[in-house]
Amino acid sequence: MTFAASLPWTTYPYVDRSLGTEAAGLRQLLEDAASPASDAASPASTGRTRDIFMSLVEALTEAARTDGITVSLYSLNKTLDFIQSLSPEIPLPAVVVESDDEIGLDWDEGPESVVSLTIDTSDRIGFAALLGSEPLYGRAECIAGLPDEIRDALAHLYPSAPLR
Amino acid sequence: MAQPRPLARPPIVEALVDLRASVPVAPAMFNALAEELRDEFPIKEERHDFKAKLEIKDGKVVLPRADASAFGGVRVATKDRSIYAQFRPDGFTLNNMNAYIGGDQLIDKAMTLWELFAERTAPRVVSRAALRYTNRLELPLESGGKFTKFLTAPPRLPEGAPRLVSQFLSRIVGHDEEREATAVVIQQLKEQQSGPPIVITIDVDVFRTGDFPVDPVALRGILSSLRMLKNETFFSLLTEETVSFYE
Repeated sequence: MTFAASLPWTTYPYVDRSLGTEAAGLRQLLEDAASPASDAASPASTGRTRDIFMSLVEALTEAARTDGITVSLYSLNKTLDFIQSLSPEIPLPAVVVESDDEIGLDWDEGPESVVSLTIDTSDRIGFAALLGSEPLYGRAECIAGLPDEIRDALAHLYPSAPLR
Repeated sequence: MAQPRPLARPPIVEALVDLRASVPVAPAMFNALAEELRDEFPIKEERHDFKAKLEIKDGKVVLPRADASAFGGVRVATKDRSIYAQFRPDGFTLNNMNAYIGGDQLIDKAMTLWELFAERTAPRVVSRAALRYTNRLELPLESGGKFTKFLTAPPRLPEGAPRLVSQFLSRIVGHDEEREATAVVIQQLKEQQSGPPIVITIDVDVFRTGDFPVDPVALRGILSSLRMLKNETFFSLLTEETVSFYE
């Protein structure tokens, strides 16, 4: 049987220091559930969205500083849309601006567990993966949802993540 | 409910020890500690918070400047990334991922690293001590089957509401007056792609807040008490049948 506790029990704010994909998924679901509908229009209102935005900004800053690259808005928006479309249980990738039109996304889970994508201004996403001893590479059409080749590669790295 | 006991194959995907303490020391101290631990933890990442202003000009994203970053600490990991240690200006966390090392080892390792950290940063007090375990259970529940076969307190819908449930997310914050501790319990049924097994996440986060001594002996006692609460809470959520899958 449960009973109501008198308030406040503690004024200490809840903190989350987990690093795993399961906990990341929970964090995102709870943030989404707690966000009022009116906040939905704000692109940086949720933790994961904020993290996505910040990782892109970091990469853009680094590219501008070291190589003088100013990436196209089209590539940036396409990359942002792509990362936001991923299941929250997939860790955010490392982001590298490769040229004015190309942004690279890397997931590195150790030897023989690497997936790299390249997003540019075309309708295709370049991919290269080393999963086990077999390398995979190519360019996949990105028309409706995650291309099968990329879905399969990420599912190999993160089998617990539901990939849409 | 199931009796707490050691499991041969616990369904733990992440276990962590978190100690909150303010340690406003220079970044060099954190980097020096990471260097000392390099043999055991060869992977190192620095954490920063920073601000940058984005401008759009002629269809290009322009970054006129990025403000100096605020140091967020250092994170080190073993080569297989099964253990992470986070050293931050606001405290320390030890994360054990996927390959669980056991409760005794987790606390031992946390205290060893905490002691190294505290020697170098001289925190005055620990304001929060926590243990958190995230468990992933794959259960052979068929469509139409009862959750109570495997869970003792699944979220319920009453008579009159739809009775077939495909997802749930429950977060309850409970308080143990005797131990002066709080337990945050999350149960999640993930959306299923196909038939059995179903996947249920059970996340138990137990913590105490206060002014605790920084010495490892005192902290070990607090963490051991939290561990008992965590175990009692976790096993109370499961039936004996569920636990049998992990023995």
